[in-house]
Amino acid sequence: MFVLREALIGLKRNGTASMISIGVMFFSLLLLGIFLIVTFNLFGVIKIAQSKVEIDAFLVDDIDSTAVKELKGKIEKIVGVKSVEFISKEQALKEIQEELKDVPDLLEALETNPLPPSFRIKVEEGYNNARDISDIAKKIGMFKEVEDVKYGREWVPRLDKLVKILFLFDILVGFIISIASIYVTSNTIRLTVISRKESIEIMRLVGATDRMIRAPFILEGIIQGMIGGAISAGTLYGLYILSSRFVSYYFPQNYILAGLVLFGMLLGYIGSRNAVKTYLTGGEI
Amino acid sequence: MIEIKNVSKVFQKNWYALRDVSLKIEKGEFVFIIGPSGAGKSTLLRLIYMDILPDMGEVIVAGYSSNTIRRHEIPILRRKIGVIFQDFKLLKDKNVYENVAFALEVTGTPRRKIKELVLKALADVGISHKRNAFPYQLSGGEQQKVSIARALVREPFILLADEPTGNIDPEGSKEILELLKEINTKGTAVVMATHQVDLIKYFPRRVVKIEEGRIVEDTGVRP
Ligand SMILES: Nc1ncnc2c1ncn2[C@@H]1O[C@H](COP(=O)(O)OP(=O)(O)O)[C@@H](O)[C@H]1O
Ligand SMILES: [Mg+2]
Repeated sequence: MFVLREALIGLKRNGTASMISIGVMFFSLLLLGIFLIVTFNLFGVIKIAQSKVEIDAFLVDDIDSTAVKELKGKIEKIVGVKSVEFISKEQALKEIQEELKDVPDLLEALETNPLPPSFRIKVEEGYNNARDISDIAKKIGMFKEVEDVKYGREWVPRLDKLVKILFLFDILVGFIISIASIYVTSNTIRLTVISRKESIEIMRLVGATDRMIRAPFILEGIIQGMIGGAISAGTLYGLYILSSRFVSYYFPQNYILAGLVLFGMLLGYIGSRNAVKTYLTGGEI
Repeated sequence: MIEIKNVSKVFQKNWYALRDVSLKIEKGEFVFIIGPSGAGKSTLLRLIYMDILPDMGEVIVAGYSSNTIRRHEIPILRRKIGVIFQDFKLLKDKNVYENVAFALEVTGTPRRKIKELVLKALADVGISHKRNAFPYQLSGGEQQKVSIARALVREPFILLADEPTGNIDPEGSKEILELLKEINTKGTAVVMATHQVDLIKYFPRRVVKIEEGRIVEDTGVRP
């Protein structure tokens, strides 16, 4: 009760500084929120793209069904292979016909079926990266019935890299805005500490504990973070509502909104604790 | 109750604010600490409420020794010591009632007890009628009464007064001194530092005289 009242008085007394502090917090958290959403959605796209990464193993033309069965069993045993689907010559042709149905003349010109039978191989989630896929493809290519192996060679490593860069960028942005928010909050709380020097002196004199003396300042920082976080969450939600008319994307609203408020409170807490530690270690004792 | 044993305090190199001071103050005593400005009176009082620790020697207050007291024990000790100053140290944005209540709030007194204790303390110093006034609306003497009420609200065993009449006119000063006497007769020890030697004649009690950081005279307990 006392702590809350003093914290609110502190906020009001240093109105301008508090406002700046809340403003910086708001801007930082908004930026972080936007970044998180962009990342979320790019991750989503990448996930879908990655799940489509397949290995095609083209087989010798005259392979018989027992050999197919045997080979299928062998490939399924390779570590990281999720599923193996046999595509016969006829099926392959049908698929091509399906894809090229707008240009039927091209296929009618064919007299014999030139397509080889093949296996379509999917890999398990944990092996969905450039190195593992290339390893698996190499192993498959070693069977003598396999003529050729193809997979999304070019874009698998690129996807990989993109995920990593995105992740690093997120961490970097998160780090920078955290430092900025903590610094500004710390500075605002420092001003409050200075403006309440007399009150602190009296508290010491009458036997208030260190914890009691510090609590209002800490709370003040947390409230600043909470307000900054709430405003940024509200703004982000508004932006989502507006933009969702034009583009549809994934917006995990509960996590994002609660996350921003909580993160703001955490930054406010760290900032004010830092200020109190630096400027409130009073006296000789 | 208070024992100061061979205490020295050095703020700056080779400059002793106090030098080898020994002093014993018993329960319920009234002691004047006199001496010219800069003699070391405030330093002595600060050592008693452990605002500072001695560089040499030992200060023992209510069983706590300056050599062994822990940081978190100091607030506990302070709750049993009342301190008042020349400049009152009242909070300007709080009224009389709130200033006294503040001392209880920040030490975790239950809300329902605060009102009762504050009103009693204000009545004891005779300032109840001004409980809604702000410090700037009060005379120096009245402000000092408020600060005394704040010091007494926890019923300390000792009241330390550092030049309590320094900013008050002679009439008001006598009134404050009367109040301190009254508080003392109810059992609270009072240690009053002052350089206004004329005040002592109104109330002959034990006088400890300090000059340049040394005790030069101690009359001992007077009835
Ligand atoms: N915090 C301090 N830093 C440096 N010197 C101090 C400090 N406090 C007191 N002194 C010095 O210690 C001496 C005693 O001061 P003080 O106890 O305040 O005297 P009094 O209260 O008798 O006027 C003075 O010379 C003063 O300048
Ligand atoms: Mg002094």
